[in-house]
Amino acid sequence: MHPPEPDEFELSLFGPGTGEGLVIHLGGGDWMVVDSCLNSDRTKAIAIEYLDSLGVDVAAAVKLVIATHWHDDHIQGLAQILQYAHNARFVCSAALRNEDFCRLVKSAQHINLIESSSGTEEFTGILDILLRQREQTGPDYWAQDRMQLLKEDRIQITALSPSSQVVTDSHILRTKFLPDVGGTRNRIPAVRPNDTSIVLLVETRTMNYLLGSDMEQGKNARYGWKAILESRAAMPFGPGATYKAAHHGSENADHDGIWKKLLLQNPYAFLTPFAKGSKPLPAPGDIARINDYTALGYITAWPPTKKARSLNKTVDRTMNEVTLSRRALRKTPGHIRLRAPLDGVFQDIKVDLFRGARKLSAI
Amino acid sequence: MTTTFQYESDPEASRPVKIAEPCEEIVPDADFFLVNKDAESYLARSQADWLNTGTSEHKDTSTTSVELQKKETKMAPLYRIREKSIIPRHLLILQQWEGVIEQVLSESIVAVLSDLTEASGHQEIVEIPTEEINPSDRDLLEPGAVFYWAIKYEDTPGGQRRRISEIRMRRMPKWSKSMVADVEEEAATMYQQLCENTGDASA
Repeated sequence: MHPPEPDEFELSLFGPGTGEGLVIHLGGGDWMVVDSCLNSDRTKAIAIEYLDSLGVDVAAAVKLVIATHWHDDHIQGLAQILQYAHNARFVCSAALRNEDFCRLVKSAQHINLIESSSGTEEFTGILDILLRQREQTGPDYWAQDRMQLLKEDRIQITALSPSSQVVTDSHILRTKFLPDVGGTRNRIPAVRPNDTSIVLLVETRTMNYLLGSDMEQGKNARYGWKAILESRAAMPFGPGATYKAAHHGSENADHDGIWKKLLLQNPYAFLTPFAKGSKPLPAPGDIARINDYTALGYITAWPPTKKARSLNKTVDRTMNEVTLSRRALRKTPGHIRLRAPLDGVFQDIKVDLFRGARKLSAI
Repeated sequence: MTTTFQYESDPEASRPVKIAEPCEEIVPDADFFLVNKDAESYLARSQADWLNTGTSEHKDTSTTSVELQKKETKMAPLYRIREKSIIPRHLLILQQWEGVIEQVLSESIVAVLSDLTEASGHQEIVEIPTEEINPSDRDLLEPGAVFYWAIKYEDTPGGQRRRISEIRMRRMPKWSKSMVADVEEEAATMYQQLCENTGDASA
């Protein structure tokens, strides 16, 4: 693979069966990383592996690292990226500057598991790196709606969420998994709700790109997509040519207003699958719905799981007898790459698919 | 009174034996101990002797005075057959997983398994019926709960091979008062540090 031209925008979305990471060329050799997943052998952040393969100097070229929210499938390898990306500013959701989040992070340090570490440990690793390398006690930016994260002549990046309501709601992260005397020290599951996610607007001189993170609809006009759609009146921006679909295309993360107010007609729509849980995302209904909105939908990997098979036939036989269903998580991240001139138009967009990424309409 | 127990070395191992049956069958194979010294001396006598003065089912009406004395101090020997758990078992572990419960459904759980046998990073998503979980562990089923699943062969001393699937919930320790206080203190420090870093630098 060859790197993009200096005046070329690139948006690369990576995702195996479960996991998501974006690598974005901002022009002029500068890069941004949004969320992270691991490579095939789970030893390296996919962003590092990809940028290395392009011959990019990660330490100098990565300018922004953004953790949109704190789900395991979005943050694996993020600490590793920050370790290498000395020049990068680190951004995370302002909703995490919250006492309950600190309790979750600290309580995770009291829970030891062999393989299944909690995502909150990644945050501890990041804080350690920031303190050790930069004598800094937190992120460079606590992002919230309408906060500009990068402003250059050729490109601007703005956070559209979390809403001020979510940021000021000190109980937003309250969960039964907070440590409580006599309670069980279980693994900390995903930090909810998804309203705390950072939705990003990337604006080049001629086109906009909307990155939906895992944002959900929201219970009212002050939460989720409803809040973003509401606040757009106060901060108008042009419709997006490309949409990284929120929350793996799930129905509760979709809103008609996204497609009708925030995006061009028939935009490019990219998504990653999520195979953990009883039913993988996107569900067949989600795929059909997105296909109704656009003919240019793509997914990094499908199917997100494959038939589980052990090398030992006895193990296979036993597991098949005991379980109701059994699927192996796909480890290789698929890759959707969009490239377009920084001052190009919609017709200039070129999309390439690698490592099993597929067109949504072909599923 | 009849007590039933099993021979430890009997490969069939399921044949119940009454204590009142001829002890020649029992004693050579039994791993027994005695409750006190009287019983020990009692056992030192010939088998025929104590068979004659033995259990209520074998009472001898023509006992001597010496035998009567023995009867007064007699205590039935207590036989304890070695438990199977301390018999050296040969286990061949085929596969071990660490599982984390993602969802608890009405009659099953959905969990992500991570391979502990090989550090391959291999993960599987499985749905396991709740009935496969030990009833005493079922109150532990909740998202985030951890279990271990081992699939193994057991070769018994009797020459049998069994295939075993064993799912054990990890009984995670409880949060103690002091530990919660530690977390609170650490979290307060972390929160203070995060607030010191305003993170509002302009672009």
